[in-house]
Amino acid sequence: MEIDKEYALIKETLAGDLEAFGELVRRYEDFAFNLSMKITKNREEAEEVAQDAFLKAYKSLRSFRFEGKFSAWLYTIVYRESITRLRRQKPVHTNTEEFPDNAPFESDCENGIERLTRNDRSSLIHKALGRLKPEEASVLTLFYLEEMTLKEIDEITGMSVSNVKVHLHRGRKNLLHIVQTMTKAPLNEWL
Amino acid sequence: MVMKREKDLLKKWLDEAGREAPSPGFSSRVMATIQAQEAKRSVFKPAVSPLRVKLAVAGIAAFFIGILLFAPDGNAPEGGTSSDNPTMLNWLQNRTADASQQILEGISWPVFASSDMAFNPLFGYALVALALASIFNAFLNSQLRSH
Repeated sequence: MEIDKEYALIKETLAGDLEAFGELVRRYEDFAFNLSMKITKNREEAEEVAQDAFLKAYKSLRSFRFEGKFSAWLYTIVYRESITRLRRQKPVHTNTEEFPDNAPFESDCENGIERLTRNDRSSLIHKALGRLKPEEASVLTLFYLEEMTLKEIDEITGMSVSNVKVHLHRGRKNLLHIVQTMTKAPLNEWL
Repeated sequence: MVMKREKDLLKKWLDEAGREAPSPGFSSRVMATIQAQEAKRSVFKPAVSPLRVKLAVAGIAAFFIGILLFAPDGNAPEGGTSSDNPTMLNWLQNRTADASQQILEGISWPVFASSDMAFNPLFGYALVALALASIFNAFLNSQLRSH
């Protein structure tokens, strides 16, 4: 969404046009839900967090400075809401995984994944992202899917740029190895 | 170290996987919640600021309390001074004694005698001073909040 259109919608909302904010919600609902899902790892929780984030964004829209992207501003709210929700939950065993730095990614595995249908491959990747730590999954999503810069990610997450790089590196390595582990298992275990 | 080929592969797979979507009707639910909150907020919207409402209420209260406390007693003998009338303290003592007797006999409301209502002016001054102090306090609070 071009930035001028975005700013126009925000100004219309501030002038009292609720439908303009509805347009922003429709544009960014997947955006907000997807990030929240990577952190909370639960659909119901993620929907609640995304909804709360939109409410918060609506209430504090006057504090939006017309300098950067609305998406980045919204992402900051979603990220903080998700992390707050995660901390409020009782500590549960998270099925996240860590792999050694030097473990190679096998080309057989890559070929196997490439032979899958697009839908199966997408499902595999979403499941693998779900097994990453919340910080790694969110940093990978912001960097690769939303194509945000390290500086933008640093502003959204409140991590330092060097910390973002560390999470990005670990996230990449762990995701590849989770994918590799999953593809070695019988297909019906992850599909 | 993760190789460039692997980075490209990840980028391709993540792009392909895309974003997970919320359940259908999500945006409508969000907008319905916002509309409900907006409707709730618009039920009472004072045209004046909370400070002005407080000042007005305190002013009106001080005015009525002043009238109640300083109105001349119609039953008092002409030329009589306030010391001729029972003071507020005496009035309270009498009422307390009456009430304790009535409790023994059973619960009943004390009879209100208007002739007893000539209050000590000092009590009235104290109440007005309290009202003025609350106005001043409200003003100070608003100043602190604005900083």
